[in-house]
Amino acid sequence: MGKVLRHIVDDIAVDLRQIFDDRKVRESQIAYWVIMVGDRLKSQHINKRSSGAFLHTFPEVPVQKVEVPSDNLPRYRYYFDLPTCIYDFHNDQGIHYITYSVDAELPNELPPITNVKFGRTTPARLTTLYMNPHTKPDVKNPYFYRSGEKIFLMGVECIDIETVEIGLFMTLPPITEIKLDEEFDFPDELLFVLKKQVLEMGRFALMVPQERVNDGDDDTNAAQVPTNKLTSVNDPINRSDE
Amino acid sequence: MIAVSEIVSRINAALDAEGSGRYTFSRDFQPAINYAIEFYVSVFNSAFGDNKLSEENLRELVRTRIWQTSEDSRVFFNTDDTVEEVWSILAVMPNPVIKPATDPIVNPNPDESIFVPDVVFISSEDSAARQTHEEWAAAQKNIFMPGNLTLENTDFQDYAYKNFTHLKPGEAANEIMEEIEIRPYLNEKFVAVTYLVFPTNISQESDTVLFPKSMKNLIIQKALYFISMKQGDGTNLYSISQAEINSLVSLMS
Repeated sequence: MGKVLRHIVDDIAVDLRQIFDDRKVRESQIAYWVIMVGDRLKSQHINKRSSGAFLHTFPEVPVQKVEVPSDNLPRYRYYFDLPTCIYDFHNDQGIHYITYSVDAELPNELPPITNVKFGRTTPARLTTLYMNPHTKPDVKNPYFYRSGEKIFLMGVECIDIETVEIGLFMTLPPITEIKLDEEFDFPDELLFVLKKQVLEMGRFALMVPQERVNDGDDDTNAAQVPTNKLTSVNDPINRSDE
Repeated sequence: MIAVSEIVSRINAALDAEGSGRYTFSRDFQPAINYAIEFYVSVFNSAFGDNKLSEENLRELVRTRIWQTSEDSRVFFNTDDTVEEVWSILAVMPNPVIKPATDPIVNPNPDESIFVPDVVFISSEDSAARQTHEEWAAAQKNIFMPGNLTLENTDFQDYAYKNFTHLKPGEAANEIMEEIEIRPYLNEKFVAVTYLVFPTNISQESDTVLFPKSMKNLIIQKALYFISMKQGDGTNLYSISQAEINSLVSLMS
């Protein structure tokens, strides 16, 4: 196994000297910082590189059909729930692809991924798509659009679809789900940047003077309150190519 | 540990009273040494509060014992169980590995914890942080505070214990048992507690003082200070012993 979150968290905890029982910064908080910073760095990394290193495929995601309409669920529309959190890239590029299999119509035994790929659209553009016979959504030219954590499938209403295959660029798992001893899905070459930025956050947290804590102690000099900027506004961390 | 006989002979030497019979054990040395012990208990209490003291300084007084918590995740400290009186808690370690391995005991009175004297603490991956009563309430829903009940990811389970309190009204003052509470709740499970016991007062010259040998000079100086107060003669003994104590205490803490 490669790197695991526990190694990163423990490394930072030792550097911040937060390894005693009454430590101020707990393991869960360091992990939360790592996830926060890690997600930003990882999303920038994926945006910059055309690589499958962080692409996760889900071969059989169950599709449902709306029988009873409700908020955000129009009648008779196929949809599925995203199985995980994904990066919100421009034009929904956090969803790398969605395909469904129509084996019966294919002349050869081609794998499902070579079947029909859904194009990406938005609910507002759908009207225009339906007006042109060459772009009209149908079973051979279906579309998907995203609405929150649901993905709606257009053009396949007249056939039965049970599952689709999808490829996603997943975010790191949230603090409520991430495991300390499982593989940490993060580019190796950015670990140094991740650690540096989390140490900056930890340093600031530890600089908050005791006077801000309700312990009945009033012997801290107010002049010691840190006022220096920890990171310049021109630091690369604050720039974004998005 | 320090032999009382050794302290007595050093005090005699300092007073230049060897073989004189001027000072007796029960009338002079015993109360003076007990006074010194109680004084340093107070000094260390202050040092504990400031997190200035390592337990190694008081290794003769450190004990690790196993309790099974009550159904409310509490541990009661009863001198009848521990024999020695608990002075200060150094560590609370939930889910310990114990030897021999034992299943939790059926508790006929689940309102109270059970002291488990027949097992030995081996290890524990968990350690509970100490919290004040105010922190205890504030931490309950804060996922970044130890003792919270909202972060259900077991990889980040972080225990805390609430410092001594007494929660059962109606007990007579001499029957009150202090208790601690542990969160996330450990209902009727084992917990290891490392604590300091109060150093017992001495009653005979053959006794020992349960402080480390490095404190021998402190005990002697404080006992001499007490004797000088009794004499009330304003001799050099008073000022000299007081100055020595101040410097040594500052070194210790």
